[in-house]
Amino acid sequence: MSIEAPERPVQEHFPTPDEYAGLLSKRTRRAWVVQMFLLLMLTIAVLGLSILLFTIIDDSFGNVATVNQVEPEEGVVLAGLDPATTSFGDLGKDELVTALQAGINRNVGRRLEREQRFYEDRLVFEPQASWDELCASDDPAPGCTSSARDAGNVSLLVQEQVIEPDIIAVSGMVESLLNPAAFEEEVARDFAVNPEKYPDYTFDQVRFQWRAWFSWSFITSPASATPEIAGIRTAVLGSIWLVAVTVLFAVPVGVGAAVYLEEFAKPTRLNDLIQTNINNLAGVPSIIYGMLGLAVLVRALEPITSGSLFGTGAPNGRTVLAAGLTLGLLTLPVVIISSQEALRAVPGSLRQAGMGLGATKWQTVRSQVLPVAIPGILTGTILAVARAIGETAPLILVGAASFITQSPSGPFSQFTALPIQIFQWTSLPQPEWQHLAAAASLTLLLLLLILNGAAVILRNKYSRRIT
Amino acid sequence: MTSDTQREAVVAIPTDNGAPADNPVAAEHDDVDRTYEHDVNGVIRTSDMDVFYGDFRAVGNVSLSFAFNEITALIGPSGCGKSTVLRSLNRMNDLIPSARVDGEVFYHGEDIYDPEVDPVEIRRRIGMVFQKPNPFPKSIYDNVAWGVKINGFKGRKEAMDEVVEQALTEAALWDEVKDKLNDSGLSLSGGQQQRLCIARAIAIQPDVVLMDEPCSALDPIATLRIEELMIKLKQHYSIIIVTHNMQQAARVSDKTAFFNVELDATGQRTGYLVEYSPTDELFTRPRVQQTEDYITGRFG
Amino acid sequence: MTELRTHFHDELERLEHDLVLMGEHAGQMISDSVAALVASDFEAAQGVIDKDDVVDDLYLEVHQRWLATMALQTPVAIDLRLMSVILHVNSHLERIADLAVTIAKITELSQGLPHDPTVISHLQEMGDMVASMVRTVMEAFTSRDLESALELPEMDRPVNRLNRKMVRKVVKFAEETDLLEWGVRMMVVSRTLERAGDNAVDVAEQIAFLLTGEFREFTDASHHD
Repeated sequence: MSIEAPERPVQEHFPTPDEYAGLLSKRTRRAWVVQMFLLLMLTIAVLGLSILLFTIIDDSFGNVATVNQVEPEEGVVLAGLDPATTSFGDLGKDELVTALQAGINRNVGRRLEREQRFYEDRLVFEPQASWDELCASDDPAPGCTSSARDAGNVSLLVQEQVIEPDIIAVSGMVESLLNPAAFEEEVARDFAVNPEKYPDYTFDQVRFQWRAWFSWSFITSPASATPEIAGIRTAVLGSIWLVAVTVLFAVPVGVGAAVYLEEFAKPTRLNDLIQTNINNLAGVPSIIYGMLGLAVLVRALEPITSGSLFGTGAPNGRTVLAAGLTLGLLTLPVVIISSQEALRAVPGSLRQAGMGLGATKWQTVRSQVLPVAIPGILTGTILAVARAIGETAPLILVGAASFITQSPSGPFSQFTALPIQIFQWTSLPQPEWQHLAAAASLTLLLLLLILNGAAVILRNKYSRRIT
Repeated sequence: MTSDTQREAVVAIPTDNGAPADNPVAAEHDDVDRTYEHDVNGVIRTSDMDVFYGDFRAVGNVSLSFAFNEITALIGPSGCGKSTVLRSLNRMNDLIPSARVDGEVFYHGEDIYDPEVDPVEIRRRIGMVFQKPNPFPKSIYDNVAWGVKINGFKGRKEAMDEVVEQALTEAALWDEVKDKLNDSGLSLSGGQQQRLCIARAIAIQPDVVLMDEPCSALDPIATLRIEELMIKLKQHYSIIIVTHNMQQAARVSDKTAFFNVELDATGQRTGYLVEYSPTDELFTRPRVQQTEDYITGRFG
Repeated sequence: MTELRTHFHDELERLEHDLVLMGEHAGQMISDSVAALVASDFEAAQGVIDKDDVVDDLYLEVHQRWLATMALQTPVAIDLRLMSVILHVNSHLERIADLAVTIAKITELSQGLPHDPTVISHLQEMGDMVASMVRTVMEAFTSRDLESALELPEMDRPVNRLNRKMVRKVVKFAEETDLLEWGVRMMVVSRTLERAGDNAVDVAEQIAFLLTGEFREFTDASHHD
């Protein structure tokens, strides 16, 4: 190579310093405009999500106008005590049972006792003879085997059956906090204008009180037909069971398949086909998975999914197991693809280093590649599971129960899930159900937050170990 | 945050109109001629420059003057801050959110860290070539033309063709790529990619070209080509190069600055300038024992 | 401080060691050759000539290894200066040994010629001085002693003075024809010893360069001191 002075390019086409200065300020201005535009986009996104969250929270709390069929003080009287000295909340189980006996008719009592008995050693509503007969029959009532109701449960029954609080109007959180009087005036006006809407009550009976639809008792109470005492315990537990089954199925299977495809599979036509199919499956609408779950898991594999093959369980295949597996199948492609991405992001030099030390492929993958990929795999899995928690359509098809008060206790239990519950409540006409749905949505969000938080902590722990 | 000991570098090349820095080692050899033309007003001059990353002082007290149309090499052990110094010279450190530069960096006598100064303009005047060849995933032609275009080139297609050809010729790459200008820049070999990056950098007619270990990813022949190219390019540009390869610094540079790193009481590593001398002197009779130890491999 | 180029620096030490060995031989050869001359001991003179083979072998080996080290290790700074010094000192020492051989050969050639005891004692004195210069300069080399190296020009001065005296003496021998041939031969010996002394001074210049990084000639042939 010779060293010679190269000629400079034609100078006149380059901007003069003055032109450049003008151009530079123009470019800087344009950059600023674009930056502001991008900020606007971000603002819109944040605003949209904030409004959603605000709506949910606003609906989850607020003032309500309630009318009790029987005032709690009268409930105390029914229990045989003096309301001046005792409040409803202080009543013990025996007194509550007494109040219940006094407040409801015998047939309702028998139904309740058949669902779950009040005492282990004695019956309250059912005669001993018919109870024995019932329990000896081919189709014994659940109450024959289950344990006795506790005081809280009886208290709920008294509230639901005797006091029968009726929420006649509701308002949102912001209005309740800023202008509570407006709500009361509105109810009063409604009483005055449309008295035919409230044939059973007078305005004097209406109590205004703050109600947190989203509360600890909301989360721990079972479903109910009475909105005032309805909770989502069954739905929360159902969702947790579903997530557990989903994760237990989708993570090992998905990660395993991803490891095989990324680390071991040779690029044959068959493997290409499999890969393409997995990519396609990730885009299949969830309702299709529901149909698959219904046809295969609920119907064809009923002996397994109902648990009858193992001698226990549900009358049919519409169980936690069937739904969890359906959701597992639904999340599987996403888990596989994200795990593959995570594995692909591991530098090839790491594999070469491992193999270069005489390790087998599996030893290298197990000890060097997987630890590096785990944060990425976890991220993908979190997203997939988060999607599964929110899924409604396949659960409807697989047969989530629309109303169930019994908490799921195992993979063969019948179940409902949070999105199902939300969906059902939102479809009911009375306004209080909308507020319950909002509170349930908030619960779902919190559940997601907890799951994501746990996974993020786990991921950070792994990342820190690597770096 | 400053280190306990303020080290004084031995600078055989004055940073301003004053005499060379007073130092005991130089005093022993006071019969040596130590006046170097060019050096009084270098193209870039730093004055007591410190670079911080957050609270961490990466380099301290750097006063250097880089001469016009010369190649200046920055050498030193890993972590001595030579790359940091290089990246401070065209405000590339701005891209690191926690980075901060104290002291002054003068480019043609103007402080480039003045709030009035637009770093975009600084980087147009002071180009950069990076450690790993990083051509855009575009055609060879577009790799060179893009920078020219965004900087307000007024010519038509033919003029641009000429600019691209000139830049590639200057970068000693034209003959190898003239028949495949529409191929992707990534299709070239490593050495060619790096020369493409150099062509890209010089196409916008910078004043100074900063090179951050430009040959560390290249084979020896490609390395020699780049070195040859640098020597050719210094007719038009002032070149400042960071290199791990002392022999490379010895081969190409006119002046060499040696940086070292010290651990302070809190365990922080701060780089500092040890010696700045003409390359031939630094490699035959360095003025500071530390330099001697480093270049002869007696350094730990 | 960690030593990162042990292999290279070991090789440098070995080269220097061989050089010191050569220095010992060369100094000894000067002493031996002058002693053989004084005693007209032909066997001792032959011994000096034989020893030159050892020095020549060392010279060639140092040169060979020097080339290899230069090519493979690309020395810089003090290492580079040491390499340069080794190359120069190597030739100077080989030269000194050759000069001793010249003296040994003259011992044989001046066999049976009448001789002058004053001249002999002058030569003995010169021989002792030059041998001591070689020893001093090699010690200054091994101990990196700039002071000792700077003494060499001083040590060389009496040698030069004696050499000039020899010239005057031999000119006088022109009147005593039987002593003339021997006198001329002894003139060559004196001149040879003076050259050996100059070589020792050159070695000292190299040592000063090694230690200071500046090269200066101690004495300048074109400017009389």
